[in-house]
Amino acid sequence: MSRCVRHRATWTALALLAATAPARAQDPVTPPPPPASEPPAAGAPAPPESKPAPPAPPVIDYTVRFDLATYEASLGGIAAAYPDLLRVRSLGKSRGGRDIWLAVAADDSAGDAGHRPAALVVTDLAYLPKSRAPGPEAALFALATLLERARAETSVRERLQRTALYFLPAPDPDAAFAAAESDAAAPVRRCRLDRNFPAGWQPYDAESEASGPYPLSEPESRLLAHFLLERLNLSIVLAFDGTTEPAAPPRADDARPPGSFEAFCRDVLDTTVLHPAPWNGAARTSAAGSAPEGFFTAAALAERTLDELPRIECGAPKLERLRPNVWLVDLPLANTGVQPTRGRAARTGESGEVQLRATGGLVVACAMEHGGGTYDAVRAARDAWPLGHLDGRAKATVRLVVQADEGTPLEVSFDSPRSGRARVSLVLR
Amino acid sequence: MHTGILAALAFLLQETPPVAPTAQEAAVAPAEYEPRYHTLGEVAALVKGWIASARPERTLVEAVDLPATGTGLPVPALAFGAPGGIPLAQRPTVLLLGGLDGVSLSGSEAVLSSTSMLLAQPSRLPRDIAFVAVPWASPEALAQMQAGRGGDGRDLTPLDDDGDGAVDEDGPDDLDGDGRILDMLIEDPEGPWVRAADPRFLAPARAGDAPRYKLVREGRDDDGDGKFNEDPAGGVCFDRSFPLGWRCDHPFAKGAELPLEIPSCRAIADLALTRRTAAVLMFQGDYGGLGLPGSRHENPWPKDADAGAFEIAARLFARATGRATPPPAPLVVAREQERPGAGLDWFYAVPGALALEVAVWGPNVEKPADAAGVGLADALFENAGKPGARAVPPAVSATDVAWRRWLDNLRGGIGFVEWHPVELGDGRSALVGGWEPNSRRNAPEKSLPAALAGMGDFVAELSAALPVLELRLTDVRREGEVCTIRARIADIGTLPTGAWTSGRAGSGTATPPGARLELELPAGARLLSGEAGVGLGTISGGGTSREVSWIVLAAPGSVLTVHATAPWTVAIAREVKP
Repeated sequence: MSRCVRHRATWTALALLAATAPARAQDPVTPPPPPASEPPAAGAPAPPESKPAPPAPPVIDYTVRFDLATYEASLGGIAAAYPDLLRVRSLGKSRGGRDIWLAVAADDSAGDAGHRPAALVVTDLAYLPKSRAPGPEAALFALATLLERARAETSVRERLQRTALYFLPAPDPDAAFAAAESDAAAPVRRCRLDRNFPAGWQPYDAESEASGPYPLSEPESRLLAHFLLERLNLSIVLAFDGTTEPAAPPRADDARPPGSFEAFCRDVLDTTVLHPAPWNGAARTSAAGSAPEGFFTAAALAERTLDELPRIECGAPKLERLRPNVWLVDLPLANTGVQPTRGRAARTGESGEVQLRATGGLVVACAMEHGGGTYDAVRAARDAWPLGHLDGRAKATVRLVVQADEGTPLEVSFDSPRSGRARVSLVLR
Repeated sequence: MHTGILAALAFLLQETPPVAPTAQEAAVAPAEYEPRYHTLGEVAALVKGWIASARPERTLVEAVDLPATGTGLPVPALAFGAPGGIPLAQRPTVLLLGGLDGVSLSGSEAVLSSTSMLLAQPSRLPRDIAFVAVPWASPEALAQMQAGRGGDGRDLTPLDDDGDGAVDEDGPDDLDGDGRILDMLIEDPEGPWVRAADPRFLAPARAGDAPRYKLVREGRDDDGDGKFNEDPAGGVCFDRSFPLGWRCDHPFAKGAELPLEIPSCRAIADLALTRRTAAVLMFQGDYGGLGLPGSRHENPWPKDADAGAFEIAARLFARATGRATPPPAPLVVAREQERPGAGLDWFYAVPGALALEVAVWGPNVEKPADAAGVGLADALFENAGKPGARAVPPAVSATDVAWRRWLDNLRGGIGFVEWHPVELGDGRSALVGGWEPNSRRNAPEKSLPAALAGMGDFVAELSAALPVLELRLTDVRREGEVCTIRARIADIGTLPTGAWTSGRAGSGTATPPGARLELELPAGARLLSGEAGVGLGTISGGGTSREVSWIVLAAPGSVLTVHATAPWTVAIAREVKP
């Protein structure tokens, strides 16, 4: 891309970014829950007739190293093409003054993304000394591919209605782009970002200036940590490894140096961390553009991750009348995801558990059975019944004793920060 | 023992009379300090007055800007030092922090009194050393403490401690209406405490002991969750929010569950990083002595690291205060429990300063005139007859014995409120009592002069003992264009030139260079032998480095420059014309 074209593209992209950033760009941590009567959206709302159709998705060459302008132009182009599925905003500025762009892939017609099970795709902060920081190309390709598939396939779009995927293609833009911009001043950094997180942080490291004077001493690590800590819905982190060796050995599961981003994700956020290494293989072309084979594999993994997120589902309720106005309701419950509902929020309090709330009748008792046939009574909290946690693929039955007149509609919801919300409605008769 | 340490100890053992202010100093003393508890407003006024009344020909005084707290309270601070060519910001600095723990108002007063003394006696300000004083280092918590509402050092950052979605909804209350918030004992079969042989005091419960208690602050269960005062107003204890060993005590507290998260606390850390911080004196604690880095049983430095420097500091402290305190001990010992996230550990480990906790107040600070014949109060062990109770209650701990001696022998028992029953509602009751606000954790105002005695002298003598570099050129000669230079560095101060930790945070696995000699060559000269820069490690007070030699090819008349640096000293340079 020539310099002139690149600059024009940047301005276009920034304008698009501004246009696509909605008032609710920051997915709130605890958004007000949608009204109980709100039906789940069947699909994307039809755009108003007065709105122009979004531009076609850009076709990008992901085999070349992006500079900042190309990155922002590409991200802006993708955001403009999928206004119903993508929100982009800046987490803040790097030490070198570059924006750290966050892209949230989710179908907002189904409610706020901040209240749904979520995963993060991030370009890994770790890179070998003397080698270049990995660029944003692989994460951006995964984003473009996911959105293109969501537009083409109903099943993928449905996943984006019940989950969210956060993308941080360039969490360390100074490292990713400084070398590509000959006129850019190198940022003054006091440490390696991937050793600057508060998870077993140590003042002394094998490498000079590695861990920084204190954790989160750098604006990039601070912004990233704050963003992640506010996302109680996050279960999986896909850190796109910057290794360029074609046959890089898989990273050991317990490789988490003190103070590393990985240690922070595992030990503080309680998330699963995966390390795909996309920078390998021959280039091929898709609707999103040309990319190495490894990019396609990583993009497929990102999409598959959506199915692994914890997801509470409630089966058909079983109803028994005990007295004229007393009902026994058995609700089969399952976590259909691979990941457990237990997360960081569950460490010390009840607000991380699956919480049952009911409207339409008075729940006088609640018990739960985990497959052994024995029900254990649940103690009521202030405004909900905390049911504990469900491991991946786990099943349970919740038994409610409800006091209500015949014909009363009963609405039961199950919430947890990680698994989102499931609802079931029935009429007591 | 190293000869340098011996020399330093010999220096310390010399009987030096206290330095009296000169007549000129007495005539122009700046804003007057009185030994009493000052409010934050008064502290700010004192600091402002000191800055405004400074006379640069006598003392350099500058304001230090620190960000206000979350509720907008100022954090008054100033830098000062003897006049000289080196700006204060570039000098080796002694950082004086008062009450960073959010509890020690006595510590805050110690910073004020020391600052006042040094400003009034500029002859005691060592040349080329800067002092930075932050008397109220945790203003919100200290203000709470002063108002009788504090206790655990929290600032006012709103936190949902118990994760119930409500913030600060269950704090302490004055249940008995006596105008004070004290401690409360709630009977609980799983409780960790029992009342000791002197039932005013508690002891860890042993198997079979009954009744057992939970110890909480006085107050009702405001949010009805069965827990008492588990979500009080605030907050973050600044002195527990540093990164070494830090752990999150408030997992649900968004925005404050990270180390050094509060800007006004992080600013103090950054202050130590941006200055050439040689010593950090944290005035806080109630054990009356010096605490050393080591708030946990495992620390990232060797056990005996800098033992010589700490020994020197302990002798200076004993001499300045006249206290016969036990030898200084790591925080985990001095505080009798682990204190992860302590600021002291970080100031030692990362800025590499000589970091000390100075416990201004303690049970042995005031001396009884005659302890004989003063009996302990006859206390009723009211639970002894309960079924299941052990016949012999546990002994009072050594620390409590010391405090009991102070309380009964010097205060006639005044300062401790006997445990007395209060109603909690729903038929439950508890015992309220314990130490009054200004008794154990802070000195009673009447005892403040005794607590502050010698603190300023300690600061002055410690700063005077800081290392001073002297460059010794042992051989400078020329044969034609070939020049030979041999040099050593001497530390003519008392303390070593740095700590085991100095420079280590940035040096990776390599040993930090410590003191360093560098030869700067003129244009056209060539170094034939030797390294341009040589790390010499730590030089003990009164000691000298090994000799460094260079052979240089330089035209006649050339001027070479030898630079000497060390972590805790001013850099020096000397031009050499072989």
